[in-house]
Amino acid sequence: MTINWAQVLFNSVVTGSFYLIGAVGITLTYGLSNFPNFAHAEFITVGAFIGYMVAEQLGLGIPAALIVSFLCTGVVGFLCYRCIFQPLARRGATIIHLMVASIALGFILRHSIGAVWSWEPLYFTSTWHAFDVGPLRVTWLWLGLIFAALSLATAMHFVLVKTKIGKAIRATSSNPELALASGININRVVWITWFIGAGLAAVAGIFRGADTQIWPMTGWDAILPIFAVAVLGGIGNFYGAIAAAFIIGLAENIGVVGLISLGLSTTYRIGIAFLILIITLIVRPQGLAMLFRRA
Amino acid sequence: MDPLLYVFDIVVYIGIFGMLALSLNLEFGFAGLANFGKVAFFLIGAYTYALLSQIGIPFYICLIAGASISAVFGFLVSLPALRLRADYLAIVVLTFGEILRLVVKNEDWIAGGDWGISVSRAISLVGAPPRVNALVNIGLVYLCLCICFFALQLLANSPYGRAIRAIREDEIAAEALGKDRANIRLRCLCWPQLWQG
Repeated sequence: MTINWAQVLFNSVVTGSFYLIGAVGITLTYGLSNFPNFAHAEFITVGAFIGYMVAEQLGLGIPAALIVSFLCTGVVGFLCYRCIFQPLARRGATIIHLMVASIALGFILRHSIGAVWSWEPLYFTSTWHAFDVGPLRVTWLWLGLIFAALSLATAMHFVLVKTKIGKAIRATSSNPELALASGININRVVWITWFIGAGLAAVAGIFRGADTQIWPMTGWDAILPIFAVAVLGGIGNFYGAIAAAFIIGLAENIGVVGLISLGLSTTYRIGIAFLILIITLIVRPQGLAMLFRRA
Repeated sequence: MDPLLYVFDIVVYIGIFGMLALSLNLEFGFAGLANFGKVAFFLIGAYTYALLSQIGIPFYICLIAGASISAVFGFLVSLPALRLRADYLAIVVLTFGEILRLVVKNEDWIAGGDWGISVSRAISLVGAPPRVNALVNIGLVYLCLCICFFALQLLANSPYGRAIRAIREDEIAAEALGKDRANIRLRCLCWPQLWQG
């Protein structure tokens, strides 16, 4: 069997782009609110379903779906934080309470989605014709995904470095008391971060849905690799997350080649991300953070 | 279907979840470790039991084997995992559970993959009506529950139990936990029925 390494690399970039868009929300909210939000998986699912509704049931197409879904899911994320996690944290909930609450919230959202849209997989009807560029087989959807990830990385870089809100996010993440004392409205910073994070999760969800299918488990199936990205990149570290997303994308796609040659099922590909996650947590829990001190 | 059997089913589930709660109480309540991967050990125990009982080994041996194998895994996972902070520990055990689920779903030869395997009842009295059989099995589950409860009470009041609580206060966990977390896993095996992957 000959392996098309260019294709493997390209697929890695596609996978990495998806993970990056999904992981930004996790890593920023984890850094700001200091707990892993497992309900982030459901933000992905909610986003995918809202996108499906706009694109297919209302027939407005994918671009409109991306925008509407970003905004709606962003509001969902904001409300979840404002109505659930913030009051809990204010009453002195520990990290474990918050984690359990986020898992429970995830269950509620997931099964509500299942009740509304059914548990049958749904497919976006827009078909994506594959065409060849040199040795590569690509679709416009994948190119769109890569473009979205690149623009996200650039935009986030400028937001974090140049704008007031970006600096406020970084300041609050590294030292909330000091940020508060410097006159930063911490609540507003955290709310905006949750809004953006959930909105981006929705974008990731739509791309995943348009590429494969959507069902209520869409988000949960993707959440642990996304955690792997956030952890490998260093919690709260955006630049680390970029590097980690592509490292894990690469590892997964090379892993697929390995799995095929070993004759194992390719559904194990996700297990590779899990392994990276566990090893990172045990060996180097700070992730790649030291390599990207600026963030 | 006999509505009474449905009720019995629920009663059995109450017993099983009671045992799981006891187990979690040992880890989280006494030792301060939130174990989000309980399902993984539950799964190991259940599958061990199911596979062994299929080759005709009596149920009590299957039960003990399921518990011990689950215990061994619990111990193995605890070795690296216990060095971690609460949130990292949660992610690691959760991930461990997902890996296990992947393996079981994909390797059809172990236990039918997605479809699961069905297991016969732990105790089947020849010629008895299904209701009596169900009652006998309920008795078995609750017997296990009682044994677990009293064993844990003993443990909690022993010097060892105090040591565990001291560890909780101290945040530095000892690997000893691994063994006990498993002691509880067995009960799920008691209720023989269709086991979905």
